[in-house]
Amino acid sequence: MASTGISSLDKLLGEGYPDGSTVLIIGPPGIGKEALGYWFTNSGLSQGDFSFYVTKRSVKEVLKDANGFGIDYRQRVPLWMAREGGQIKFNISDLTGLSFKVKEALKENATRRIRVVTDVLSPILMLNPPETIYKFLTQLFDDAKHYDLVLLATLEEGMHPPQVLSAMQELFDGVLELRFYEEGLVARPLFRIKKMIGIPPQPSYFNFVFSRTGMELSAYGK
Amino acid sequence: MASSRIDIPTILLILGLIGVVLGLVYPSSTTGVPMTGVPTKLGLVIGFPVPTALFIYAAFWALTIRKGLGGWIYRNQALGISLVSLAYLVELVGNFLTITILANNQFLFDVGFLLRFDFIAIMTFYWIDSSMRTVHDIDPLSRDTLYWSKLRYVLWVLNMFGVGTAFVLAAVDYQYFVHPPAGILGAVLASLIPTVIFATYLPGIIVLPIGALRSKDKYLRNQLVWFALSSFCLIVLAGLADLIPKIGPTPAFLLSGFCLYRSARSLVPLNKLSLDDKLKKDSN
Repeated sequence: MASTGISSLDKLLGEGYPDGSTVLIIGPPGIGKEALGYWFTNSGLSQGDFSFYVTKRSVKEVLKDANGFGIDYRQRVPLWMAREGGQIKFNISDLTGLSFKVKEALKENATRRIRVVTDVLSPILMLNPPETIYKFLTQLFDDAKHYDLVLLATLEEGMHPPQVLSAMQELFDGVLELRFYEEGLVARPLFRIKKMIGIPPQPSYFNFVFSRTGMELSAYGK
Repeated sequence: MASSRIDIPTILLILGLIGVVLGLVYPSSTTGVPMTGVPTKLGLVIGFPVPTALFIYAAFWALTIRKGLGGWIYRNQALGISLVSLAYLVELVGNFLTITILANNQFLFDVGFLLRFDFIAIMTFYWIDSSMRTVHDIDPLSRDTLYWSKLRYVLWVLNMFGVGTAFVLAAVDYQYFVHPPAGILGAVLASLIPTVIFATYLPGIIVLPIGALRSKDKYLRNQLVWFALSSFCLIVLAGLADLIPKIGPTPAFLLSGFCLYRSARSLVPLNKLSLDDKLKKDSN
């Protein structure tokens, strides 16, 4: 198990994300999906794991965003694969190149436990034909099994047709959902584990609040 | 989805529009706010409190959504909508006071106008700036269109220059500035300052719709469309009310408030919990 970096989520999942699993975090832009990736990466770095962050943004932008959640990557730095400012640069329209670079990075660090976090899934789905996407994801999931790594990917709600969202949820081993629910005059952000390999389905919703020390979860309705 | 049912702002809008029609049928003043009789009371009830409630509702929803958002870029955008709602509310209150209490005090009338103008100018640019950063963040290729990350500093300076100049001129000689016939310089400045301020909006007005289309984010698209409609209603309908006094400013504020409320609600998708989930919650 790989700790999520959030103690309340570790408890829900039974210590963390299962090794060799691919996890999808789905929700609207701005709700805080990336924060789960920041804490997961940070937890990996503190445990000496190889943390690999693949982002469509520039490293500077990620650092600023992560800092807003209380994560400071200046002490321990993940391997950045980014549009700008990272150790590895990539072009999001070139999935073959991206796949190759990811494979190389994983191969070089195969002796350590590997954690991969990425926010490029939504742009990939928007900018590439379905066959190319399918090929890329199959390759990535094969790598996840081969290296026994944990892959955390975020997916934007509202930018893709419902059938694409459903297909993606089918492909991943685990799906975490962050959404806003309207309750009278309150817009309530709720969290749910839609599915996770190795644990029974969990239909319960949880209230969540971000703080600089993590994500606080409490059972919805209490 | 909540948008399919009739909510409180929709009821307020319908009531307000009925009141506007009644006010048109029974006009009793040139300002559009009747001064005597039954239509007077109706006009005062609808012309001020109903749009006020709509702007407060818009600000409230933007802030309540902001509270649940994690990313600072999106939190700023939600704050932008609430600040614009507040600025429009100030404009509504100022307009109401101008018609009722300050009509005979030219100094307070002019200074009040400039303060409201400045407040709206700053808050609108704050919203444009925060929305441009949102559009950049959700762009699949993270494009920095028009080099906004750098251009924004220049535009903020220009915006503040326009706002500041208007304020200083008003403080030094408000009559000279507000009433251009007093001199050519006054006329030039009076037309130049709004032009400078509008120029700071122009890149945003062009890029925001393009960004929304590129991102394919239907919620962002809805948010921008409702915001644009709100501004359109306030500017165009209020302008129309100046030309045709019988209409009055109430329809402009009513529609603008409602559109701003819809824009605030489009900041994120708001889902509804199923009956099963509610029962589970109650049993907890």
